[in-house]
Amino acid sequence: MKQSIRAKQKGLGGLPLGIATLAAGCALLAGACSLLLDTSVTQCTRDKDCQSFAGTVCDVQDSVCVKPRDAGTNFAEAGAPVDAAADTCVGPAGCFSCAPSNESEIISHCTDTICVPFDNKRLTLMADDGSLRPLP
Amino acid sequence: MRCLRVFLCTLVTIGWLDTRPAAAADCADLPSPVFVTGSTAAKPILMQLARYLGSLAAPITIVYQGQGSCLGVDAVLSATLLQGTAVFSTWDSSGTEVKCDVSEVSPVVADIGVSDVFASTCFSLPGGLPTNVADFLGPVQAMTFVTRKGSPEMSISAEAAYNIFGFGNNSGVAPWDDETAIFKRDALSGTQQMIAAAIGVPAVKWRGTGTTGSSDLQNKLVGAMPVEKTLGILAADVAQDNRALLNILAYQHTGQRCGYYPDRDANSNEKQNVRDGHYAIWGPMHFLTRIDGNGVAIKRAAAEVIGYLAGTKTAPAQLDLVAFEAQHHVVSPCAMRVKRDRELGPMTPFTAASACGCYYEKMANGSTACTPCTRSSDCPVQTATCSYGYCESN
Repeated sequence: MKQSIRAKQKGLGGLPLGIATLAAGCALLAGACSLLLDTSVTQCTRDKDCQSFAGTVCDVQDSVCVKPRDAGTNFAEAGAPVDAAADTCVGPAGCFSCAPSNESEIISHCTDTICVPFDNKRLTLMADDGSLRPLP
Repeated sequence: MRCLRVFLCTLVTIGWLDTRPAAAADCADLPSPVFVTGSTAAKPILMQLARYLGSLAAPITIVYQGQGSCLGVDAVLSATLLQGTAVFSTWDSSGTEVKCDVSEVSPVVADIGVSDVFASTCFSLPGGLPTNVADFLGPVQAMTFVTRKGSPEMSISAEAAYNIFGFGNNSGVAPWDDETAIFKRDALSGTQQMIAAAIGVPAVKWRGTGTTGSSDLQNKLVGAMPVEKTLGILAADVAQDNRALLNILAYQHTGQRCGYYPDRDANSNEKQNVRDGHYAIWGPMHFLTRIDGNGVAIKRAAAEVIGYLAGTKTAPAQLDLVAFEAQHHVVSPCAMRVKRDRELGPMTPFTAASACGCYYEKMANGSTACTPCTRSSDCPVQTATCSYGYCESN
């Protein structure tokens, strides 16, 4: 069961630690926080945003800081499946941390660039089996 | 009265003479002309190269006609004859564009066809290119989704774009469900064809409001309402030159769970995510030419032009194409860390013989975190090669 740091910890003055960190982080990471402030449920967009939470990484799907084991074990920050055999190459949030050799490893390679997830639940018209509709 | 008539008649005659186009030079008479035709995206780089080649002791003249990617491919594959008045561009040493003519009695065959997309994207080529034609890969372009400034949207997925451009008003992806605010190019556009390959909607099946070119699309997008429903496509160089009017969306490719900008973030210029493959919609410019049995361009001057554009010929200091390309939002081949062999095909790792990623970043953003160097012994183990003045990884 995935459990975010935001839900588990409290910061100074009884504020949720996530909010306290968000405010402090904004002073340091204006660029990243401009993204964070666009939505009230976004805690992070990359691992660097979680530096205040020792031992955590960004789960980009839920935009919260989580322990690495909770962060979607087979998905990188980029989100593509990582070769399960490459356990030694699993970085923060499951990103591929070794030298990439194929497309899967390239698009899931660890990166500190900004990413902005698009929630495909916004797609309301799908085929009956949940796949994309055939083109007209 | 008679004098007045003569005077007026003279004025009319002079006026008539002045309205006729001045006779331009015959392109074929220029020093060592190389005829290039195709994608309009290549024009700024060709201009920069033309200034240098024209200044050589044995000058080469680039003669260019912009007419779309697939027509550029066709010009070489079919040896289409080119001719026309004031439709061919050359450039003087200051970069000023000068027109020249090719008469209909002496038409020419293009030496180089320029395309934003692979030849097989334009035409069915089950056996590949003819053996006497080669495709040399040049600077990399990224194609982007854009909205009008003020839209709250920040990213788009391949699946969302499939529904929007494949179904239009019936996209089912709010707020992009109004074809009057969704702008496309046309089926021959390199931008549309490359994005079509990424999202799985053939270029001929796109829904939305048609436009005649990048400028037209931009103008229509900026005037469209309501703002939140706007969506269009542009090459990154056009989009990034117009950031005051447009937002570039992060793109989440099939299989990714997060969208990426072409650059490190929405405001930088170094194309980090294109260069390392996190941003998927990119492709090299293509320079097609006829070759001999050794794979060398038949026309020596054409080989010279292609060598610089493909980065296989070292440019002198006064021709800093890496800096020029960085400032014009296309990626020099030597700055890429991935490559692909077909349209939106699988990426594989790539390192240029003389890597220039750090220098490119410096030229694009004005700064780089890379270690400066004068020789490889200045560099740490992880980035052991000194190239273009910075320590690069192998």
